[in-house]
Parts: sequence; structure tokens; C-alpha cells
Amino acid sequence: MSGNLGKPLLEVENLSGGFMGPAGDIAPVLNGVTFTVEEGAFFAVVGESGSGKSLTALAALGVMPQGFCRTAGAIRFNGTDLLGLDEARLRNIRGSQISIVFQDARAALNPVFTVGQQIMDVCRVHQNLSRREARRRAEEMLDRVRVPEAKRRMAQYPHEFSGGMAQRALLAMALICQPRLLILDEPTTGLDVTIQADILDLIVELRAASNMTICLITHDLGIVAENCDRVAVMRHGSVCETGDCVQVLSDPRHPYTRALIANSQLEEIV
Amino acid sequence: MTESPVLSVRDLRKDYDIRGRGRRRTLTAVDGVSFDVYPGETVAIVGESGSGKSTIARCVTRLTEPTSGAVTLAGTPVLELSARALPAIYRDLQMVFQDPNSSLDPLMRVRDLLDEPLRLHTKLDKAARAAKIAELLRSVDLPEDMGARLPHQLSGGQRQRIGIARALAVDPKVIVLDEPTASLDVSIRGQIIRLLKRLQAEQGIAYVLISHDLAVVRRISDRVLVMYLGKTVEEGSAKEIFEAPAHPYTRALLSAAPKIAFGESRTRLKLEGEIPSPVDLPPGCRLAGRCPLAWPDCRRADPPLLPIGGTHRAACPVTVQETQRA
Repeated sequence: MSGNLGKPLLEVENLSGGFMGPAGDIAPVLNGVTFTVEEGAFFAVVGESGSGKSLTALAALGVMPQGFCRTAGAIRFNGTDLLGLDEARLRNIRGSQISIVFQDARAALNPVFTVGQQIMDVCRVHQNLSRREARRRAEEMLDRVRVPEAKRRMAQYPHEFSGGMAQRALLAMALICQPRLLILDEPTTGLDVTIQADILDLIVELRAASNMTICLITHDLGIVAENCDRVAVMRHGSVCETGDCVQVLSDPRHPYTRALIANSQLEEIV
Repeated sequence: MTESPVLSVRDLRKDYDIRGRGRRRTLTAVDGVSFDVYPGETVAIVGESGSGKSTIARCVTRLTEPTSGAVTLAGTPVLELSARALPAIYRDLQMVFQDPNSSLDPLMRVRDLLDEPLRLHTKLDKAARAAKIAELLRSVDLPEDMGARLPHQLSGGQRQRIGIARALAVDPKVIVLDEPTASLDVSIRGQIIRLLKRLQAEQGIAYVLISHDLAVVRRISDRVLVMYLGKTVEEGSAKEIFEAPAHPYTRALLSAAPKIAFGESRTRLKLEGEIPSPVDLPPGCRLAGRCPLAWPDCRRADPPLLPIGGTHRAACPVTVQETQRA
């Protein structure tokens, strides 16, 4: 699975920060997060709620929640510090070079526009395509993420999509500009296991076809074990263990990683 | 087992009429489900969304009125009770809900939340109830001073413990657990499962566990019912279901769950497409349209549960014959 990965594509270095309290004090949530995602990797960030895993992913896109305040650290994408960029340049990178798929797909889609329109918008903004060309590409992309009857589905609204289909549409939206880095924030949480397995199979297949780098945020170690090649385990806003996926999961060094594995399998319960 | 079941469900059915836009249609959420629960055991009902598992939980406890069927709780015909006589069954039958954030009254302190079932179902005086509340908090591993807190001052795991303590307050014979760990982190999930096991061992309570979490089901249940679109497609002991699943749906479900197991090759049984609408289902096996093993006969008649051996039964003539030949 692992082996020759390329040069660093996303480097998170000593990222620290927290939420500003009413008195101007900062409640820390990230305490020196450091990890590197190499080009071509299927990288996983795992942790329980409150570990800071989603916040780190959002920071990579420059979409930090309101009140969040960075106190130290850097996020470099292909050598450029993302946190130093202005909004206009960030907007150029988002969606075209780094894309994200959020957890609750139906909430992530805009309910008042058709799904097709929303996919088309992404490539029209970034690639300056004609309406007709954008439509053709969006339809092709929906077909590639295995949404049946792509043409008819283009004209439908998000509420007409099931959870699994909406997640596929979001994937189509994220992939239409062929990004170098795809961030998946809990992409299958809330979906049934059989649908989850189908979505993960699709992601693996799309990755193989496009040589894209993936950063998967999840709380499910089973998903990590079955799909990823590198992993960072997060707890209390910092990375407690990182490395090759097989190695970390079969021979964990950090006690928290060990506990997390035992708890995921409910091992000690008869 | 020679003793009699504490809870017995026969041919439970729940239909919903869907009106509006054109003709009236029927959605069958639960379609003739039967099972028995013996004292001190855990029966798990598993399935994906739309399988009807939560509707079963709500019908058994009469939070939803079933269309037909029979539910017997320690000799009492639950579905025949009048609205006036119904509350008495909740001394023996309690429920723990999925989301402890919305199932606890946000304006009641923990001690009042625990006092409520005691006031309704027991004749204990104030001092005895206070002692019982302290005992309940201890039994779910929470400190006694927790009693003064409001639900928002508790963590998700603590809230679920309060939900469990509330169910325990009246010393019930059966507790229906509706996805008790679905909203919890894995480390908290482990604690809750250990707690449930310990309480069962100490007090001999029977559990009906509604869950889609196969890891949890595997660890704590004695018997398992697998549901698909309102029907039981397979039932058996936890060992039979997990080690030798017979129905294609059970196989698909078990093989889809991600596991931490390196070097073990996984053969996924894949179903086609997504779960169909439960409205006006076509005749024949409900899985036929998605099943890779289906043959023309599958679309003609809905297969009954066929015996495989012991208590193990599956509603699939194709795989049952194959298992028996093997």
C-alpha cells in the first residue's frame, strides 16, 4: 500500500489556536498540530470529537469558524503558506486545487438551486467555461460518481437526493476541477454501512484514475485500516502518533492509539 | 431455555396511510415480525435506515400504535390495554432513547429526572426516593452530587447514563434500548456497553437492543434479528449470524462494515443500488431487485423464514439450500 510517495503537498506545522473568549482570552483547541501529507498519499486524520481534526482541515482551506484565532504555525500547500494568502488568492485555490467534501451532504448543498447548477458553478468560476460546456462536464462527472440517470438528476434539487446520492453529487462537485488535494471530512458518517462501503469504493476508484492526494478526516479506524496508507492520530488538539497506516494500527506506540483501537473493536468486552 | 419469555411479540404490523396527490397508498413499516425475549438475555434487532427497527421499538412500548399483532409482557397483553391501564406496564418495560440530548427535559435537574419515574410507579416516600436516586447514580457510575445538575451541564456520555438510570429506577424486567450508543465517541461507547452488561448480570434485566452498530451487537447480544424493509430476513444466535450469515442481505451488511484486520482479504457481497421505497412493494422477495444471487422465482413469492439448524432461520431459499448442501 505504502512505498514511494511524492514530495510534501500539504504541510501543517505547529498549528496552534483557539476560540476568543468574551474577555479577550483564548481557549486553546489546537496545540501545535504537525503532520505532512505527501503527494499521492491517502492520508487519514483520526480522532474523537473535540480532538481538532475538522478544525485543522478547515484551516487548510482558510475557512476557519468565526471567533477562531490562530496563535502560531503554518499550513503550506505545495510550498505556499495558505494562511498568509489574501481572500482572492485563496478563492483561486479552493475548489480548483484543494477541494473538500463535508459530512452532511444534504446540508452542504444549497437547497434552492438544482444539483446540476451547483456542480456547473464550480467549474464555471474556476475554468471560465461556457454554460453548455459546463453542463456537459457536470453531467459527465455525475455519471463518473455513479449517479444513475445523470441528465435527469442534474435538474433535481438536493431534497430529491438520498443521503448517499447527495454525497456522490458533492464528490462530483469537489472533483470537477481535478484538484490536487481532496479533503474528505467524515464523508460517510450518518450513512448506512452498505452505502458507506459503496462511497468508499468509489473514492478508491476515482483516486486510482486521477492520481489525486486525499486527506480523510474520520473517527472510524476500520475505514482508515481498509483504505489509507498514512495516518495521524489526534487528541486534545495535537497529533499524538503519525506514520504508516499498517504500522500505526498493528503496532501502536502511543497509549491513546492503543486505547482507541481497543475501543473501536470493543475488544475487552466478552 | 425452558422458562417462559418475559416479552413475546407476534406478527407485529404497522402500516401508514399516505394521502395526498392521487390515490391512497400504504407504507408498511413493519410487516409481520415475531420474536421472544427471555429473562436476562439480549435480543438485538439490526438493519439499516428504513428497515423498521425503530418502529418495532416504538410499537412494543406503545409509543406508536401498531396496526395489528400481539405483544405479551410477563403475561399481560400490552396491545389490549386501555389508555388508563397502559401506564402500569412501564414498571416492567422501559426504554432508553437514542439521543440523550433531546430525551431529557432540559429544565429538570438530574435528581428530578430520576425522581419522576419513582413518583409515578412506586409508593416510596420522599426519603426513600432520595436514597434510591443516590443508589441509581452510583449504579451508573456517576457521583451523587450530579443530582443538582441540569442536562446541559453534562457530557453526552453522562446524559446517556442518566437515560439508563431513569429506565432502571423502577426495576423493570425489560429495557428497550434504541441505538443507545449511536451519538457517542468510541471510548464512551465502550463504557456504556460495559455498564449495560454489568447491570444485566446484576439485575437479570432483558434487553431489546435496536442498533445498526454491528460491533456493539456482536459483543452484547445473545440473539439477533436482521431486518430489511419491515421484514425479518434472518434470525439466530449472535454466533450463528456473525459466523455463518445465510441471507444475502446479512452477508452484504456484515461484509460492508469496515474492520481493522490486515492481511485478511475481504470479499464483499455487493447489493445493487439503494434501498427501494417501502410504499406499495412489489410481490416476491424484497431484496430481489438488488440481490446478486436472485433468480426469477425470487420475484414471484415472498419467501418465509426457513430453518437452517438450531434457532437459525433465514428467508432465502437460495442460500438456505446452499448451506444445507454444504
